[in-house]
Amino acid sequence: MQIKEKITGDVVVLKFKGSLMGEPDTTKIRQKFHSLVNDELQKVVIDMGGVKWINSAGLGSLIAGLTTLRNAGGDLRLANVADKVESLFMITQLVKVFKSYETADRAIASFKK
Amino acid sequence: MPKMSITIMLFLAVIFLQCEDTIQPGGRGSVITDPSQWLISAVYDGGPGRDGIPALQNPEMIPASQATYLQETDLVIGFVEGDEARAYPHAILDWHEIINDRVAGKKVAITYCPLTGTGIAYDRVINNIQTTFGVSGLLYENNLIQFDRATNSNWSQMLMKCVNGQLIGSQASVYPLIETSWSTWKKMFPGTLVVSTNTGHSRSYDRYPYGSYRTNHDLVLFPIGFDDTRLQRKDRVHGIIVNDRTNVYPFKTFGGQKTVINDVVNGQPVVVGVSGADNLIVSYLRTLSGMELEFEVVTDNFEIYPFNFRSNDGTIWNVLGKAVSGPRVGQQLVPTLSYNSFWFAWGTFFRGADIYGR
Repeated sequence: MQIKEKITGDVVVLKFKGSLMGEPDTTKIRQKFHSLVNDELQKVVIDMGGVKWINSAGLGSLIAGLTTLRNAGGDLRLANVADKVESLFMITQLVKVFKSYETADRAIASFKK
Repeated sequence: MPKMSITIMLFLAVIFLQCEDTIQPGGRGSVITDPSQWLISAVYDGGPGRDGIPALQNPEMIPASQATYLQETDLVIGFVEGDEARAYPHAILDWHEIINDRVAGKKVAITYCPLTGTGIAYDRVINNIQTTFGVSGLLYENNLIQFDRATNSNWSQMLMKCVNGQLIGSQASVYPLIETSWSTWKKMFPGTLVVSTNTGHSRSYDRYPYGSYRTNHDLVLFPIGFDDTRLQRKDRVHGIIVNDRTNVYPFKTFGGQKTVINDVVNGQPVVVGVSGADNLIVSYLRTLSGMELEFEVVTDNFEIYPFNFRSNDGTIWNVLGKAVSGPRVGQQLVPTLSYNSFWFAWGTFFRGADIYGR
């Protein structure tokens, strides 16, 4: 899976592309979040528009990222989640854990409130 | 500890405890199974993980009058044993997929796969050992793979067969179900009990979790092994299995009509009863005590059931296949091995199925 990083103000947007189906992507994601926190970047948006599917390990890595960021005083928010993936967040009740927005811009703006 | 942190930790526990030794991640999202340990190939990790979709155990049941969360047209899966009738609504099953229950002493697991639209009742006693079923989080041809907690064996719901684990190759014992609208079920069984929303889990039971999935023919979550285009993917069909051959009866073929079809599936005479307006199709063997019967529909003067059958010896049979008057009163027709499904799933599981009306 590809990850592209863009910084807008104090918010980092990570654009994911591909399927998140376990190693090595899950380790890559965990390392990414720790790296961001080390650089004092705790507000993160994942643009999920390019994500085709996530398995249980992939979900676990997102939750780990959320925990890492919140423990550092920040948050992880999602944007542009495809219908297929949305159903997975719904059935696992992760919709109650992650804040999700239609676009990355809206997710960025949500940090300013 | 903050409530959210507890939630996250619990979910993480579920996610990571579900890992199975026999599953290895494969390319492009597929999960490769070790052929020596599985009877099927191309098993996919559906995402939620093992028990990520929580099966229910002996859920709270309420009378029909208290089930205010249900709409009249909502589909329910009904199970009848003795004098007891129970309804298991799709609205609950969409979120839990399996309900382990006991009905009039019979230990049964009502299993339902929202992705293939298939409801099948499994006997929870396997090799004289009582068990419960859980949702593995794995899918085969978009269909639920369930596991039994006694042996951790994995079962393909639609194949009704153990496909991995200690019981590999074992055939499941299943019971007949009736799927119909809530209004029809209540009319047939006024004393029915129905699953309460007080399940112990916080879910939005008034909300369908899969968006447009039920009606969008282009929306399928995982690749289909064989995409049979004779019908549209999400067309609902009633499928009958006789050994290695199957016939399907598409609901849309019948519109709102009530009818009875005398048919033959793989040499086996069957009767199919339809009430399109009630979203109801049932089927039985036409052979009883060595005699082959012919049936016609009876729609006049019915009070409880949407229709009855009349066999050519003058016997009247209700929707449950029970003779209610005539020379065979008290006798019972044998249900076919059958269940309802989205067409795309039936088409790939049972390739080359004969389609009624074609």
